[in-house]
Amino acid sequence: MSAEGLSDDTEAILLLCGRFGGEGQAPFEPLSTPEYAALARALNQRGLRPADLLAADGPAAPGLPQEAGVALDRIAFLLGRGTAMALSLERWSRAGLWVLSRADAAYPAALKRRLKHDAPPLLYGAGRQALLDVGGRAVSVLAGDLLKASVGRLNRSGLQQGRLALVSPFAPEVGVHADSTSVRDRCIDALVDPS
Amino acid sequence: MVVEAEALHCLRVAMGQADAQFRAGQWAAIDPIVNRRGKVLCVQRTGWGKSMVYFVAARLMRAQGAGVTLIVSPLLSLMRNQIDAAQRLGLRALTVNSTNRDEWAGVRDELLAGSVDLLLISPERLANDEFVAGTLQAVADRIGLLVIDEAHCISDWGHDFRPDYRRVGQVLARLPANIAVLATTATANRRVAQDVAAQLGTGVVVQRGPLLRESLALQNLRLPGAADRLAWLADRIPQLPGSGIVYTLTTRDADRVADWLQQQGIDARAYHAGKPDDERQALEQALLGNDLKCLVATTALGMGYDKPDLHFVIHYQTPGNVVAYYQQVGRAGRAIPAAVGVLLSGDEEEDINAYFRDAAFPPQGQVDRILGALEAADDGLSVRALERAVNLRQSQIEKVLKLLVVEPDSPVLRLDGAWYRTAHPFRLDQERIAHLTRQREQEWAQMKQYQAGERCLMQFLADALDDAGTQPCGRCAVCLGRPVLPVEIDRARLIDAQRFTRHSEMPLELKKQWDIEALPQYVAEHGWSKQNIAQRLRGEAGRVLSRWGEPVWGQLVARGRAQGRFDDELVDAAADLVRHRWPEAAQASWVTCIPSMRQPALVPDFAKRLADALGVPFRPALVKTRETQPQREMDNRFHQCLNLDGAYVVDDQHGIAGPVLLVDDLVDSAWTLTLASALLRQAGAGAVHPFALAVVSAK
Repeated sequence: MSAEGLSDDTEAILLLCGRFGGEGQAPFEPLSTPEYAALARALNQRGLRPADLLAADGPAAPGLPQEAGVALDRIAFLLGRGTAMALSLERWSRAGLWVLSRADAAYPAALKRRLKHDAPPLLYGAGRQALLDVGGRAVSVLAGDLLKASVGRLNRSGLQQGRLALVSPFAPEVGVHADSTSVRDRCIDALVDPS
Repeated sequence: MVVEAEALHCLRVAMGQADAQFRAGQWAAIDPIVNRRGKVLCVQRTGWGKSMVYFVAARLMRAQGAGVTLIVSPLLSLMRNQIDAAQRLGLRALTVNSTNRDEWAGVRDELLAGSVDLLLISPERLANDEFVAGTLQAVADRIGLLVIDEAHCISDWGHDFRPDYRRVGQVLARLPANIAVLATTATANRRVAQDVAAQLGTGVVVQRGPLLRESLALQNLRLPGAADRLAWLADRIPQLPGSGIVYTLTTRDADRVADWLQQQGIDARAYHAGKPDDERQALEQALLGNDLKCLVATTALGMGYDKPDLHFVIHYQTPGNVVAYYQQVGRAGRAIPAAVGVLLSGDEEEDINAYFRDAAFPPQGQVDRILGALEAADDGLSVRALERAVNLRQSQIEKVLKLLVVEPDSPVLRLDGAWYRTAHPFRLDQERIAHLTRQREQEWAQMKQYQAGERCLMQFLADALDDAGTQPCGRCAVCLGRPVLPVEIDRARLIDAQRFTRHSEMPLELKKQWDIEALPQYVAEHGWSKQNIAQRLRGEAGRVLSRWGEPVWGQLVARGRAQGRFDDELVDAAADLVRHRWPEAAQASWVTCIPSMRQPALVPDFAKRLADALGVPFRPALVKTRETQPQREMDNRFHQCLNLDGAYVVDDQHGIAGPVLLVDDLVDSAWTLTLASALLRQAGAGAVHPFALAVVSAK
């Protein structure tokens, strides 16, 4: 994250799709990649951006979520998770982790190009972001436990010296689970060989 | 959109008064919160009604379908009147703090079920990663309004900057625009208010009212000696109407002053962080209900405590800065026509305040050692493991970690119960530390200016708080040209006070658990096992005569060490203690002491004279077998035990049966006395009563 914080778009996407630890007890799940893709399409068609969903005087296009197939109360709940997000962001930031969304310039073009609508809406990582476009051995894509890996002894010097970037489409404290490796593998294919 | 009339109706319900009106600024604070999810900083004195603002706002937001209000406050629980107001509004408030850990799961469940409207947590909770991940995150997605009490603690420029609050500030800075924030404080000058507002974000509404109290009459009084101040307090307090607070700088002084006042027939009770939370709450209630005359308190009786009829606030010693002083004295006289604030000044406060300044930041060396240990570790380290790796006290390790973990680019992180080194390179920000230390020194200089009393005392405080346009108060000792309270001290009382300062003994508790892995020689010799020291090997509850350097005895001890011989006055004081105030030790049939290779005569000579005074034999039953490092350089249990392993043996040639008085000159953590007691008991001695002339650890 830059010192100034997330872009408004990334903030909105993080609210919609991110995991902060309380999801097990929440009334609604965060948006999945296909769900977010549908919403992004609908926004795009209206000439709107994700940040517009958080607009001060109500979402810019009230009927839009239903058009994209997402329940209105689910969107409202997800967008209201700011405190949970701030608590997580503060911890990740202290640990040196950053968050990129598809709306950010630094989001690897190779991922967008190869995965298209399946490109994860959010990428969490540690280390120099520029390495994501370089690819190869400089990037290590994780299926989970990003936070743990970032404080691990083996990675520390690489991260500190800017030779290594860790990245994951899964939230930093989420462990590896059944589906994560296949998603991870597809990201690896795209990132490790960005051509 | 909520209009003022609706909010006013809420206020009336909350206060239980059909004709209540908003104070100036209350609606101006509620409006942006409720209608725009805005961020507001309220700088208003205690009693203005900051809690009404957040209760009404919480009620209105609930009606709009918004979620829970999170209140971050150092208070242990809502004040009685706040609970009543919340109840009248139909708001359910629950607290989560260190005293009700067993209730956390239940609170979380209730929050999830939607039956709780207000959650009160302490800043320590919010700064605790395990609490946030395990309990708070389960409900954080539903929090629509954050209320931060005592928000001046977020600011580096504030008089009371706290690491836990730094974390709070960093969380607030990351909130999106649709989460409302209300920050409140009663003590912030312009610069502090600006700093807090900047940390809250952009577009923050800042509101400020006059902070001073017209009913307060201030006075300064210099009485260098502790006995003089004690006597003055005992003379004056019974003559004051109503109840009040006496503030001290240390917990030890809080206990001592309370003891003294009680002995003088005044219903005074000590209040400090060493007391359990339920006792603290009971004491707070007692003062509120005027069930006692005064609380003798440290800064632990702080923030947020609001008693409308507090008649006096007296400081036994001068605190480090004017704003902190105001925060404490400003509690008096809220809803009564007249109240008194007296600042006493004595010899010891210079050193105490210097100690607080020096101890605020750890030395670079300590930080480097801790980071080095974490870097070298294969995995995370617990604090216990860090104690082994680094020769530092557990409390010091935790203090360093606490400071490091709230750095924005933190070099350490807590994960799954252990500490890790992050990839952030780290240098202690020496410039920042130097700046903060300089600031504290300037604040102390300003405090001394206040003490000098060259102009209206109230105006001086007003300037320090940027309270604009105050006139001379006409009530303080400077405006009046004479004291508010008499300065004379009763002669007989002074003699009593002097005697009291001579009866300065404290309990001396030996350790109950050792680090058995650090005592291989003794284990081999005596077969000791287990972390808990066996009952048969334990010494009794002991006594220590004084605190190093403290008047009267502590000063004599320091002199005795320097000269190589302890004054006879100390022998008399010790004998007096044993004979008249320590019946168990009076049963001792012999005296022994801890030997030293460095100063072989000092303690045995004292112990022999003490034995003579008590009419029992002195036997040098403990022998030192090897040189040890000074115990005070060993900073944690592991290293202290290791240092002493096999260092002493018992020589029983002159007999060791019967209860014994075990004497040493200085005690710090009591490891030497603990081990010596175990050795004597192992060898067949009777009950061991440990005694030391002075204790050296700071408190």
